[in-house]
Amino acid sequence: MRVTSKWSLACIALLMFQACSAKKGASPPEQEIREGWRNYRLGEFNAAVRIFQSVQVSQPRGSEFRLQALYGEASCWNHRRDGRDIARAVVGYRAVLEEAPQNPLASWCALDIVRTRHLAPADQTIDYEKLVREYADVYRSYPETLAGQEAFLYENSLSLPGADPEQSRKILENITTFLSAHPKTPFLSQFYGMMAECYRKMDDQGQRLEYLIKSLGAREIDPSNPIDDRSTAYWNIAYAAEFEAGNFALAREYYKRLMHEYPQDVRIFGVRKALQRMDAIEAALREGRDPAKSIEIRR
Amino acid sequence: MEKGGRAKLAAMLEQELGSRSTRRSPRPFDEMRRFFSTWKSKLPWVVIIAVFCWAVVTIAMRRREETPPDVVTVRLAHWQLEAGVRDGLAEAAAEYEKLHPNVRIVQEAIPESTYGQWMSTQLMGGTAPDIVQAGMVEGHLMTAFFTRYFVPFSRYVTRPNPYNAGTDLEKVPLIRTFKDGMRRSFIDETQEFMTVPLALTGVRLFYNKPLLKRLTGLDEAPTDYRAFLEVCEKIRSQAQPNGQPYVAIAGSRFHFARWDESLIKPLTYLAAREIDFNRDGRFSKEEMFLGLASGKISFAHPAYQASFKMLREITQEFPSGWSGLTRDEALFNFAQQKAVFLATGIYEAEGIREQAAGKFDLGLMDFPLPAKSDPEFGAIVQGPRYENPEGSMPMAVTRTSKHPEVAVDFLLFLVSREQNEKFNKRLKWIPIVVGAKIDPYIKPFEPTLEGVFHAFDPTIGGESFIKWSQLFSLYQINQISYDDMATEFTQFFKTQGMEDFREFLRNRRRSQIQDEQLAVGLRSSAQLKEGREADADWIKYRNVVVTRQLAADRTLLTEGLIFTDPDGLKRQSFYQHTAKALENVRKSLGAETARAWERN
Repeated sequence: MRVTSKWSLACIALLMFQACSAKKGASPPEQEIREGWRNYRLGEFNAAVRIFQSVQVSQPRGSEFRLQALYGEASCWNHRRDGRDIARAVVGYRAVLEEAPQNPLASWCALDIVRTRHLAPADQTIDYEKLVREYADVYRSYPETLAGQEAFLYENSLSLPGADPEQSRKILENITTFLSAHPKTPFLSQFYGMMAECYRKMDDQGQRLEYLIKSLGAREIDPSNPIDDRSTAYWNIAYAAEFEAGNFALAREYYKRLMHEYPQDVRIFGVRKALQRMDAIEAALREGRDPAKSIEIRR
Repeated sequence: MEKGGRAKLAAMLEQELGSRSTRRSPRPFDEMRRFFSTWKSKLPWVVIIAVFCWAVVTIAMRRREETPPDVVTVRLAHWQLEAGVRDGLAEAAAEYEKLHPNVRIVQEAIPESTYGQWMSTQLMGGTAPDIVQAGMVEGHLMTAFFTRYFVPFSRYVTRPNPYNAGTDLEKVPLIRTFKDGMRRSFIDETQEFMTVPLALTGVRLFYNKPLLKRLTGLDEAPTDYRAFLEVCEKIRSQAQPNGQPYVAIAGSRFHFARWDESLIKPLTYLAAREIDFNRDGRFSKEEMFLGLASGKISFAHPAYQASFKMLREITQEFPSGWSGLTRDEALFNFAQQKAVFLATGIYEAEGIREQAAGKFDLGLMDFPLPAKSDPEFGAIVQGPRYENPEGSMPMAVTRTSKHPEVAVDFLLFLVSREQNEKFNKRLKWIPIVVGAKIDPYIKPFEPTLEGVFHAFDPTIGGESFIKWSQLFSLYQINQISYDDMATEFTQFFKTQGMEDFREFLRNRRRSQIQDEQLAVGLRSSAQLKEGREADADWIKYRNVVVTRQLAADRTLLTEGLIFTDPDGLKRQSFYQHTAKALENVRKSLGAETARAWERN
């Protein structure tokens, strides 16, 4: 009987020891932060806010976990569907900026403050020009951070659709300067794509095609996602090459890539028609006929 | 007063004591009467409790019988009540159980009409089966469900399917063993593969061979549209034994949609190039709105006119009052040999075969396409329609599953080449796994991968959706002319439609807020991880930023031009070679071409 109870005590002690050692891997606030974000991702914002708030209370001002919790809570108020409170979110972002302006989270907070205005409730009108200026400010304040680079991306992507050729030239210069400072930016593909669009607006089709191809080559590949759909990129290059640059060799190359790599794509019928159409136009030109009449072949 | 009160109290006490003394000396049978009276009032409760206990014990015993303690039970729910599906699944389950004697697969077939509600309740209540056919609820709701209630399948898609061992797919990653590349399984909002499809489907035309022969003298139905219409006329002109005319095409609202998708709407393909504002080679309903509202395109487009004319011609061959008939009524007409043709999906193929067995031979064909020489549609028709080869019957594993690894394993078993072939052979559906043999009977159902798509969809939402539904319904039953329908709708679309489009764009902005949550969630995940795991999350994060947020901004800014610069939209041209482009082509062809050009 005594032996049994001793063994029982020993087992309990072992279990307690194991339980203690299991927690050693991650400190409680870190675990709580993870749990808070897990709830955030599941859309359980009330639970997430409770967790983030409890971490804020338990951690000293300016400490890493407190900043993470402040940021987490602000994100909950910013992105929750029911009871979204942008003002409260901004207070949280600003608190991080005030408590630790040098912390890596500060740049994300600065970006997210602008994002709250960009993603304002749908019934509010957005002042895009002001937004562009605000994104530019974020980039100027945090040029070496990922958040800063993202702000620069938004700044230019919002400017580009309404830009005239002169404004496009300016955007092109800005991007070129940016890329010389950040040649390894993870948004390289997007910046090349924007440069291609600038060249389109400036009616420089040769450069446009060059940058469309560069943009395709610089695409990031997600190793955990085997679907890397390039079909639209191929189509865009082929379309530009055929209709606007008159580079049928390049158009054929990319139409064929689309056909071979994506044989189930909805545009394959159109691709085949395009190949026939280009042959017919070339034949018409060789024979000295007006290709405009041959373009009827596209039907 | 006080004295009087005491006297009253004394009297009351005496009365009370008296009654107690009465209870102390009961009369004969009083006890028994009281006992029965008490039990009489409580009897219903006793019965209810007894029945409840009996039910609990019975269910517990049955469950125990079904699932002995050492057996793992995997429950699977779906809405496919069509012939063969349940048997097919049961056969596959039996094969699986042979390999894994400790596993029992139990399927629950829920009617389509209640499936969405049922699934939502089960998921929210935490009582969902281990495997669930994902669907039958609004897309955004299903997306939310995927995030909360389902286990991602991503880690399995890059590994070979162990049940393909011994075949040429032995070392092929799972994703490449699917004919559709599991495209529909990847959910953008979760950035994960969430479902496993089990089959491919398609829509074709069935016909009653002996009836066709008897009424028209033909052994096979014509594949040319004009000849097909003539055959339909011939069928309609003949009477059944009861004196009623034969019906050429078994029709109902459900079956009309099959004709509309497969033959009528694809005639609008040519209009796509007029309104491809983003030049991506595809069609979207926003582009249709921008085209109509800016005046760049109208109902006068030959492709639209042709399509609506064909609609009239086809529905003339439907039974009168077809728009009020149900799917089952149309099927019944076909099975009763009152109608010769029936357009339906592969999911009904086995049911139709069973209905026809011993009564008549079935013919199966694709929809009859107008020839290039057709006087009305020859210039419009471009080719057969494109059929999206996306997988159907998407199955997903729930988070509440007690044995998710067994549930996943059973799905892998179902999508092994051998089992997928057997399963679909039983269902008479198209296998989704590469190299799995297709039943010769359903060979004509294989999707057409090179064809045209439709370029007509005025359902931008809100009031204009309702207006279009009303006018289109009237047109279908010949209560309004094409011109009147076009005028009334265009006028409405350019006024109220603008408001609907504003709301449409607002919804885009609302989606951006939701996408921001996804993006920030991924970013936080990346920030909390290290190494390759963090890199993968960063890539996913940037993917959301680029494909959702930046793309949505671009759409909002360019499509918003309809409110500020509609003429600018109208002036845009697509699929036109610029003079400079043609000049470059000419130059590239060399000097000889230039001389020929100058000569002429």
